[in-house]
Amino acid sequence: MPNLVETHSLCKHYAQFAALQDCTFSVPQGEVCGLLGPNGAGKSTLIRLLLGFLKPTSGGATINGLDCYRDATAAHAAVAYLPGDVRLFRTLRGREVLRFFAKVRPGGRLDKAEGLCERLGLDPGRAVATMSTGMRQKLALAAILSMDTPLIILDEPTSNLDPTIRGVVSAMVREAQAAGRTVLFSSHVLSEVEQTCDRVLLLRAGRIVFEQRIADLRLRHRIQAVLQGELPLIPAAVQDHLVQVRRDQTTVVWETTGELVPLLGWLATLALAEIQIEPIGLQTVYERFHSSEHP
Amino acid sequence: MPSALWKLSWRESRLLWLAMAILMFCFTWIHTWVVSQIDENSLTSILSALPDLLQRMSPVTVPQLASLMGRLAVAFDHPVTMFACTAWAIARGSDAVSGPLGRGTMELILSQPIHRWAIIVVTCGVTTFGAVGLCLCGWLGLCAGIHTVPMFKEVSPLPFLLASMNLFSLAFFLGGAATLASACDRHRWRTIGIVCALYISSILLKVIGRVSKLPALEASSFLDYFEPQKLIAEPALVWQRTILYSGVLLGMGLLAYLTAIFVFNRRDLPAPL
Repeated sequence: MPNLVETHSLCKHYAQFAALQDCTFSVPQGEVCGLLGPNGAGKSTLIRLLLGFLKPTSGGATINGLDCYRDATAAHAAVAYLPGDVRLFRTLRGREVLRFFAKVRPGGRLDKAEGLCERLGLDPGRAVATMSTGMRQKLALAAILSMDTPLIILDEPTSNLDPTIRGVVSAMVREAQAAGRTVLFSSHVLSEVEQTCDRVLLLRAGRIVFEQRIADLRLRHRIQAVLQGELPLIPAAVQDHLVQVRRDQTTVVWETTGELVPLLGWLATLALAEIQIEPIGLQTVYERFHSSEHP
Repeated sequence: MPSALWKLSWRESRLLWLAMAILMFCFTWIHTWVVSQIDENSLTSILSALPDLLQRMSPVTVPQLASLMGRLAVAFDHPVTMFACTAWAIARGSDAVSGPLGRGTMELILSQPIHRWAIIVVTCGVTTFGAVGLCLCGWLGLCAGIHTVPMFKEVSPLPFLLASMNLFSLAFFLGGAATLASACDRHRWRTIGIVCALYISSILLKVIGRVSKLPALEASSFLDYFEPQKLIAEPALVWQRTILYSGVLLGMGLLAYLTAIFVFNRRDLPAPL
């Protein structure tokens, strides 16, 4: 699949502060790519650079082959964007907001947006000024997801929604992917990213520090074993599948680099008092990079 | 340029426009009736008795001010009409960039395939058409007054159209200045403060320059080109002055709008607070 989004050494500095540094990645067409990181990690800066709201200090980014800053307007024709903190036109009613977004770009569809409102359980007849934060989030989601653009950028799309509606939104994202659309999905909710995304990029202090396909991550496991004696030499065939994370006198912790199956035979030969095997998951990866001890 | 953007801008400003339009129409109508109740000779005597310092604050001579046309022309630089037009221009201009940036709606608009310059053009269009409408309402109120008060049956309302145009030129300039300040800023309250400070300092420059007989000081104020009473008082110079006053104010306003486009096209858009 060709890449829909590409960045090359993208940087954004504010005086001495580096909001984003040397960011290079690509998102192929049809992929749901998750952006993870704590507040201030650079997620929103990256999204704002992709939308051409900010001028890069160095490097560049393209959407559909168009420069995100110089050809911002043309690039926007290919993008539907949901901001992290949704604020809508308070003088309008919900349906008028949907009509605005349907009219403002060619091919906008009011009927589709109204259908999405129904799925999200929202009455678009209400005035925006009287809507709760969650209702406004649903309205914005309906407006954004109704746009037939190749790329959807969602910045914390479920932050104000209840668990049921979060599930509906995840389903909508999957439907968009099934229709061949690409989604850039920024979130703090790790389980949601794990369920929704094909690949995840982890940001820390303005840099991409980790990149992994979720399918590959699901194969990886953490093995914690309490030994009854000395640990024998690890055979060369097994060594490639294991990374030792921690070891003290009795306990050893490994992480598998891929599938667990090739290791099971070797593990069975060890003299162990106890063994615990669990999937690594995003939580573990996230904590590895963002725990307070991490330099 | 999407029509939805024009509709949105008008939708957000229509209540203010309606209120100001009613104010302009009713005020100029009532002003005409009030003028009809004042005797020219009595007013001349009262004004002539004022100290020289106060007389110098008037842009025209006492006989010109006390005349029927002079008294009617006061409607176009009266604080009420100036308030209506400046409130409209500053409110709309300040809402071009810093308003939606602060409210957080700018990034939703700009993530659509809309050029940044279109935001300024739409603001300029709505502010300008609104100002034309307000000034016309003021003139129509005057026409209504002239036609309903018997003593004005010989007065033609047409010369007052030029006074009305001078008022429009002022509103156009203020709209441009407010749009420029808005394009540089991210807080609407600060934008309004900056433009109000510019306006008040211009009033002070003009008044101090006139009272202290310092023409250079007076000329440094943009309000030196807002003189609707002079346009009515001296018909021989009316076209010359109209071209000068409107030319300067409209030119400065246009320059402010173009600078606003230049600034807005190049600036970073911060995340809403």
